[in-house]
Amino acid sequence: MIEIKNLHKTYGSGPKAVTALKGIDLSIEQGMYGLLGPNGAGKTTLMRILAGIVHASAGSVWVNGNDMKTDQGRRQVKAQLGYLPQELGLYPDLTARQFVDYMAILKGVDDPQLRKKRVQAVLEMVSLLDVADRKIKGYSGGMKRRVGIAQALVNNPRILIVDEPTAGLDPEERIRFRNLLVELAAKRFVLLSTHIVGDIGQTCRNMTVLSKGEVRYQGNPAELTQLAKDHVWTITSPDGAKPNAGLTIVSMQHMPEGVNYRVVGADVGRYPQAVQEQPSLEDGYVWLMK
Amino acid sequence: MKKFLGVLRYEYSMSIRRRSLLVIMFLFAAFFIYLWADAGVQFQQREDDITQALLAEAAQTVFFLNLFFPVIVGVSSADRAVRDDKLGVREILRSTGLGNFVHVLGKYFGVAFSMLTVELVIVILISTILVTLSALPLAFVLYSLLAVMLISAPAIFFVTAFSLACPLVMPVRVYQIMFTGYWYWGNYLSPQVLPTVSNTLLNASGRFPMIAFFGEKVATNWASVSHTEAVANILILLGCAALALTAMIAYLNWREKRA
Amino acid sequence: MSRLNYTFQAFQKDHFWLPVAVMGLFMLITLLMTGDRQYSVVRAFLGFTLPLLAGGLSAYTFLEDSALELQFATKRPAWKMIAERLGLVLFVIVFVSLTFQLFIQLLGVSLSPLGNVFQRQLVWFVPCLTTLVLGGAVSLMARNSNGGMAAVGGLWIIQILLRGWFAREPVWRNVLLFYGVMDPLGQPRILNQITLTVFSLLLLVAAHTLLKKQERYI
Ligand SMILES: Nc1ncnc2c1ncn2[C@@H]1O[C@H](COP(=O)(O)OP(=O)(O)OP(=O)(O)O)[C@@H](O)[C@H]1O
Ligand SMILES: [Mg+2]
Repeated sequence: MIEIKNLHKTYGSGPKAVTALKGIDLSIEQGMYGLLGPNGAGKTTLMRILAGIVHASAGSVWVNGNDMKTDQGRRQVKAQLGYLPQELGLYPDLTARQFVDYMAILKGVDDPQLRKKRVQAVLEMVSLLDVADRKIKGYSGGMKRRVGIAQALVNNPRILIVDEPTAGLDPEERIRFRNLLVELAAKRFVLLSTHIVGDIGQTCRNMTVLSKGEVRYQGNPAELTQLAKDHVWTITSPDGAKPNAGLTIVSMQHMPEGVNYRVVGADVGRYPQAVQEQPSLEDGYVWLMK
Repeated sequence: MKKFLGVLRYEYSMSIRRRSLLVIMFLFAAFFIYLWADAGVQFQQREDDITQALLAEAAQTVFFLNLFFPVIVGVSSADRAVRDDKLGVREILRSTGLGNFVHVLGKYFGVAFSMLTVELVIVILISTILVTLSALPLAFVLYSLLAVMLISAPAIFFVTAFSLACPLVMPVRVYQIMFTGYWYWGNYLSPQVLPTVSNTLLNASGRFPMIAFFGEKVATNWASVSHTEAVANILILLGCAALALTAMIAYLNWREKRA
Repeated sequence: MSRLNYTFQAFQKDHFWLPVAVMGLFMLITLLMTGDRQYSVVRAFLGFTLPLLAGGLSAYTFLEDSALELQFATKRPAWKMIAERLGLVLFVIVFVSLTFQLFIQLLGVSLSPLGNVFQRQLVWFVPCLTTLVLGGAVSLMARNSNGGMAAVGGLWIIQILLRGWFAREPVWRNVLLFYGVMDPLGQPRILNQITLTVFSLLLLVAAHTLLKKQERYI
């Protein structure tokens, strides 16, 4: 159980201070939990606080009964943590196998036999086995990301925090990783932040939308989708003129009969040809952020 | 030209806005002021030619500052060029069509001027304190600035060029450690202890211009220096800087072609 | 052990080869010299050069770590990280120093002017310890490796150039890194070495407090 109460985080002080989180209240159960929000919303800050790297300015955070205000509590959480930072740095001179092994040692997987098995297993999970003995500096962007995923999993963590893990992965690998997270979430806390709204809809039972450091929505993805009910339309515009009047265009497509716009908005009175559509999670998110 | 000035302005402000380095520089400068106050200033005895005495004192102040200031200049400008590689800025710059020549020169003058600014501020500070404490004529501040231009500025231009170029081909920390060692070995170590360049025109301590132009010998056993030698010394230092920059531009061009 | 091996391989390779290369250079110079000048080269290496190497390398040991955020997310306490990083630099310095002394012994140069076997180790070890901790602590304070290096470089050059002045001042000589090697048998060196050690310990405590504030560095 992760319990967050009235969490504030301010970076810096004086006139240059930035308040990244302004009074967050959340409680997160075991399973898969999604974080959505525009750039700068505070997702990474929240995840770093849960990982014990950044300290809260005010409020309380308890993770599995450990108070994140104390050294002791943070150490307890880190002992069961798998963390994939948004800006992942690796050691280019090590091979993937060495790197994951090194991280396993740092995470306290001390038994060499067990460690070897774990390293092998996680490298297989991210399908890096065939290049595992090559130096990381020769890897592609997505391959590096997968090394990051492997090191997060290597200590068999009870709490898994992954910050935009699928950025840069190819579609197949993204789907595989998504499924892997769901599997892992059966017995763990998995906290996922992403900008790919669909990924959350397909995996998370519960989610939060952050915006400007505040919680804008908390609940399950289906309810968020339903928020946009009766507000999603397709408008075909023969001359290609963009619909306006407070409508957000979520997609557009050039067709022989004109341009098809999918829009989210309250009022389409000016467009009699508008056709109502079933909302998706993305539409729900757009409607929420309007 | 517009691009050059743009790079220069950017590099200047990025380089001078490093709070921690400024703090360190001023801490060392404060220690120097303490030394100066402790040693006591003795002009009163040399009233026969006050201008000469003031010039000599100004030269000596700058010479002493030059003992350590270029080390901090060299260390703190060593990351300026490799940083572009590390942060991936070089790739972006290349896609804008900014040539290496303009970029390197803009960076060089930006960094060098920023360091010179800091030194000028320190020297103005020190000389103003001296003027107030020992009731010297205000001209002393001007003489000090003149001394910076002739004694210290060549060293800063020399050091900055190498600090930008060398770390491209070796780790920054290796360069910085070697450079600190070099500053002592190549400028102040007596050739009697180890073979060194400190007695040649490659000496960057400002000793030659100090003796030739200001008539100040810190130690009485130092040999006299003619004006020609001092000018040659400054020109050689600037020439070395130009060579280092040329090599740097050539290296960057070569690396781009190979990539 | 494999953990140190990885730490070493990951980002500190020049922590090894730079001191070794400098040692090789000084060995060569010693071979080219004769008589008293040999001894002064030995002094220059142990007493003056090693502290610069120790401080310069330690300035880069914490923050030049590309996977710092991952390192911070492990449960390892800050003091262990400090011991590991600074210890590795110190280990290389000790290794280089002992190798060099062995080489000098084989060459037949007497080191007895630096005191007995134990005393002559203090002559280089204490200043190396001071610059080592100083480089690390200032880097953390400045959140920037360059800052640590500038502090070490500036201190080193000022002290080496003004060592005569420092050594004459009864208060300042206690913080002179090179006092031990300049006056290896004199009484004042003891207070000097104690002062430097106390400074090192204070800086170590400061480094520990600073490293615990992980968010400053990511
Ligand atoms: N180390 C820092 N120092 C100062 N301000 C910071 C720091 N880290 C984040 N911020 C600020 O805090 C706010 C939240 O940033 P955060 O990285 O948590 O956003 P995010 O939701 O992860 O955004 P993104 O989707 O772009 O990753 C931003 O305004 C950012 O500028
Ligand atoms: Mg983020």
